[in-house]
Parts: sequence; C-alpha cells; structure tokens
Amino acid sequence: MSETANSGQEPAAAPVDAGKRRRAGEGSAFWAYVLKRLGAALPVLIGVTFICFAILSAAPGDPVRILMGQHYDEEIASELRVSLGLDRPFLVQYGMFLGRVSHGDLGRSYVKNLPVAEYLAPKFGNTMQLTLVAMFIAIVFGVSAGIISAAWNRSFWDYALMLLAVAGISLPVFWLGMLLQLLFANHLGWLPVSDMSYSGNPEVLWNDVGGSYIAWLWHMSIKYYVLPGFTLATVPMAIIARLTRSSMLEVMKLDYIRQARAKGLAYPRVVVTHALRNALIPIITVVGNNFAVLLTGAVLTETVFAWPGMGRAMVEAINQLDYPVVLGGVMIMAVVFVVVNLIVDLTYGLVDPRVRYG
Amino acid sequence: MRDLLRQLFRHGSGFVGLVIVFVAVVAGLFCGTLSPFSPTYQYRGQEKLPPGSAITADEARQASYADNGQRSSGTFIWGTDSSGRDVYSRVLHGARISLLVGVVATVINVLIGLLIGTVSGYFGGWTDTLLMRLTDTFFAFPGVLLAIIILATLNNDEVKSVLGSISGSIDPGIWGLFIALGLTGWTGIARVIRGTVISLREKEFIEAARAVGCSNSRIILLHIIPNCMAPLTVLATMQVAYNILSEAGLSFLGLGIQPPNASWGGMLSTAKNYFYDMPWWGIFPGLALALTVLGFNLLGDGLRDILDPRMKVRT
Repeated sequence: MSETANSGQEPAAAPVDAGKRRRAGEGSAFWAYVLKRLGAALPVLIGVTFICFAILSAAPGDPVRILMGQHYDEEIASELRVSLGLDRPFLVQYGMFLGRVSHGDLGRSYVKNLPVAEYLAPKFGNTMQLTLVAMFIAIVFGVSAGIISAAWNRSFWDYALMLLAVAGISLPVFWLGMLLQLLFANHLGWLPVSDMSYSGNPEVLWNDVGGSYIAWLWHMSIKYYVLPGFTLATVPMAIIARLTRSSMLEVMKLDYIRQARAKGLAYPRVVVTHALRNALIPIITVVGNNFAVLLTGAVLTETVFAWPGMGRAMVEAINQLDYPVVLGGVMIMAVVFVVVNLIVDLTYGLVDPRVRYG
Repeated sequence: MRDLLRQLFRHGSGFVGLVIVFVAVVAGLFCGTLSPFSPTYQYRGQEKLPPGSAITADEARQASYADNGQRSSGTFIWGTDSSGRDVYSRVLHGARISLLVGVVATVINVLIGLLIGTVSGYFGGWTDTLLMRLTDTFFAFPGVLLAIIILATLNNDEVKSVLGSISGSIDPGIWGLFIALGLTGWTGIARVIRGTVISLREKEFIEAARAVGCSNSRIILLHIIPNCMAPLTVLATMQVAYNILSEAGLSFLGLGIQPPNASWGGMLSTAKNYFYDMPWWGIFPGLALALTVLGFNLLGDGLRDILDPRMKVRT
C-alpha cells in the first residue's frame, strides 16, 4: 500500500490547546482512518483475485481431466464441468467465486478432496510460525547490526557489517539453506536436515534426554526451526540492518542529539533512547513490508527444508491445476498482506505521537 | 560517462561490483569459446568426478558416441555432475541464461514502470489514483507467486512448440521467464518514478516548456524522462540482481529452464540431492550466482551514492 499515515510535523509554535483538542477527537479519527484503509484494500483484493482468475482461465490445461485421472469418461466429465461451473462464461465464474468468498467459502480442492480452507489452514499456520521465527531473528540481529554500524560510523565494524549485509541481500536463499544443511546437519550433525518436529515417541525422547524439560523441548521442536529460520531471515536481516543504519545516521545529524550529548549524557544512552526511538518509523515500515514478503515468499526455504507450508502447497497446487487451492491461497495471502500493512501504519502512532491519522 | 567511471573507481565497492559484472558479462557473451566442453554432453564413465580430474583423448573417444564432434581431452576443472557433464562449462553457459533473463526482464520492468510512473505522476487526478491502485494490486501479489502462475500457464506443449521454434538453441523456457519476471517486478520502479515526476512537474523549466507550447508527450519524453535517469539507473541495476535471483529461484523449483540445458538454479536443484557426496556440483553454480548478484548490488549501491545526492550515506 502506498498510503501511509500522515506524519504531520507539528510546527514548533503550535497553539497550546491544539494538542488537547486533537486528543479529544483522536478516537474517531483513528477508526475513520482504519475504515478508509480497509475500503481502499477492497479494490486491491478484488484486483488480485481477478488477475489470478484471468490467468488461470487462460491456462490451457483441463482441470476436469486432472480431477478424474485415469478414469476419464466424457459423459461424467461434462456433468462435472457443469456442476463445477466450468462451462459458464469467464465473468460469471468469477462472479460466482466472489459470491462464495463473501460468505467465507473458498471452495473445494479438486485434488485433495477437502475444503480449501481446511486444507490450507494448517499449512498457513506452519508458514506463519516459520515467518515469525525468521522475523524475530531478523529484527534482533538486523537492528543490532544497524545500531553498531551507525554508532561507530566509518569504523572497521561499520564496514564489516555493511559488507555482510550486502552479501546477505545477494545470497540466494536456497543455496544458503543448502550450505547450512551441509555444514550444520550433514557434517557437524548438530541440527536436523529437514522436517518440522520430532517424529518419534515423545515419551522415549523424554527418558533419553534425562528428564530435562529444556533439552526435551529443544529436541522435540526448537532445533527444527533454527536452520530454516536463519535461512529465511537472511535477506530481511540485511535489509533491516542497512535501513537502521541509514535511518540512525540521518537522525544523529540533528540538533537535539548534539544537545543531548552537550548535556553530558553518555553516548550509548543517546544512541539508544534518543536516536533509535526517532529512527524507528522507517524501520517499522521495512519490517512490515518484509513480513508480508516473507510470509508469501517462503516457497524456496520451504522447498529446501521440506517444510510443510503454504508456499509449497501453492506450487504443488499450480502444477496440479488445482485452481480453487491456488485462488484461495492467493486470496489469503493478499488479505494478510493488506492487514499487515494496515497494522504497520497504525503502529506509527504508537511510536511517534506526532503522527496523526487522516 | 568517463566522469562516472572515474567516480565509480574512487568509490571502491562500486568498482568491485563493476568488475564482477564485467566478468559475468564476458562469461555470458563468450561462453561458447570459453568452455572446454559442451555444456550438455554426457561423458559416459566420467560421472561424479571431483574438480581437476583429467580426461585423456582416448577416454574421451570411448566416452562419446561416434562422430559427434565431442571428443576432446582436457581437465574437468570444476568436476563433472552425476551425468558426466562438465560443471565448469555448464556454469559458463548458465551465466548467459542468467544475464539474458536478468537484463530482458529488467528492460520490460523499466518500460512498464516508466510508463505508469510518468503518466501517473504527470497527469495526477483520477489517472493517478487508478494507476496507483493497479500498482498496489500488483505489489500485493504474494511474492514470486504471480510469476509462478504465469510460468505454469505457459508451461504446456502447444505454447512450448511455438516458442521452441523461435528460440533456436536456447531453452524455450526462457520466454516464460522474460514474461513472468517482466510483468511482476515493475511496481517499485513505477512508484519511485512517480515521486520523481511529481517533484519535477512543478519546476520552472517544465512550466517554460509548456509556455512555449510543447505538447504533453514532448514534455514527458524530452524533459521529464531524461531527468528521471539517475534514480532509474540505480533501480534498474538493482532490479537486474533481483531478476537474476528470481530466475534462479524459479529454475530451482523446476519452473524455468529445464535440464539438460544449463542454468544456475536448475543445476542447484539437481545438485541438492548429491550435495554431501559431490559438493562441487552445488558450490560452483551457487558461488557464480551469489557473486553475480553481489556484483549488481554493489554496482547499484555505488551508482546511488554517485547519482543520487539525497542518499549520500555511504555503505
């Protein structure tokens, strides 16, 4: 979304009561803003599904043939086509799809013999978990690296970290994943190659680790998240580090930072409380954007680590011409994208009280 | 141009990027003469050889079929893959595919982004609203998914036979990559160009051009677009890196260039299952890919520092 909350810079000599009046009317302005943004999201959602629908209808494959497999029979096929609405004109089909979606019905998978929502829900959950882990790693390491680079600008650590960041942006994630697997799983044997959790008996594992809850949890689940999490985190980590650095440097040039230093505040305190806080807005923007990109772009990481997520399910569905799953998945992802962007824009006000919604 | 090169040279990391890009372009252009072996030829009995293994003329004769011109002796400096193909030659030919897709898709991105960005920024009003909503829609499309959907659509026998007849020796899958990546990566360019055009629109020289009676199209083509060149160059350089990565990703998923034709993503996808036993097969194409993308990113960073004075923060 290109729209962002107005970061209205208050003029220095604003009337004293302006602040009060604004606060009184803020609640309704806030909700009006939320409503306006949701309204603007609707055409985007319709557009996304329409593009997807149009491309899929232009696709030459015949889903009914796929659906029936070896037992293809012309008579049953034509009946099936009618019952699925595939014989109707394109726009009618699209209208039927929108109608169903507005009731919360994403249709039924051709291949899996399951409702799309039921099929995709667990996969979506798996991708969401991986994305949250990756985003956590990316924020912690990315923001730290950016702060270090900005605080010691033009030092050895600045150059080293920024070189790492460019390398991080340039590394193909699937190759990085393969290298990490080779080193940490195959050669060192510290971490599992793939899968999401321990496949054996949890009670046997409990006895094996000697009754330590942390060790049990580690072998049960946590260790499976380390490699895919770091792999998926690389690119956003690098982007966040670069942006934190440039945003901090921008703020550190300002007068109030010099003022804080002149007052005799310690440098670390100025960097963290004065500079970082005011450098946060662009960082939040990029975190939000990357969250959506990660959630939807985890296909490659999921493929390398055999993670049973949404991305892989979508690629599989596209190859099997399972249109309802593709459409439903695109729809879910677009909704997440819009919602995440809205949340990002709303957090601006939490971080910076000068931001007003309009 | 000479000035730009001198500034790049002084920039350091930007120059490193330029050198890497230059090497990649040479590899892509002259891969035919530079490769010691055919990229697709399978030498029987020479499978899974580690880097540096030599093949004598005698062995080569035994390993090849009669009279196909593939009998040559030499060294597999980066080893062979599981089918007995020379990894080095395949990586060189992969450079051609990567650069071709990267550049052509970026040209399409730039054309679409420039058109939408200038029209939207210059005319404003409902044209702007409509075009930006369209941009939002494409931007909201989940990741590489749109590219995957487009590729899957084009991946059928009829389309393939038509495309195959016009693409000659190159894998017909490349057309799908051009289209899929060309149609998806333009949103960032469109937005930045729109912003630039909006700030340019109010400048005096545009007003002067309008006052002497220039038409809108003349103003856009001769006065607006030349002034967008700085951000456009930077964005396009970065976009090449992004498109090369996406091409590799799509080929890795088996949707782009199909084996036996050589592409870095495709090589990595088959090498993945042999990575522990024959790491060279996965290391070299991955390294080539990472370095090429790094080169374009460093070059883009350097160009931004030089061309865009607002972003003077050096990396």
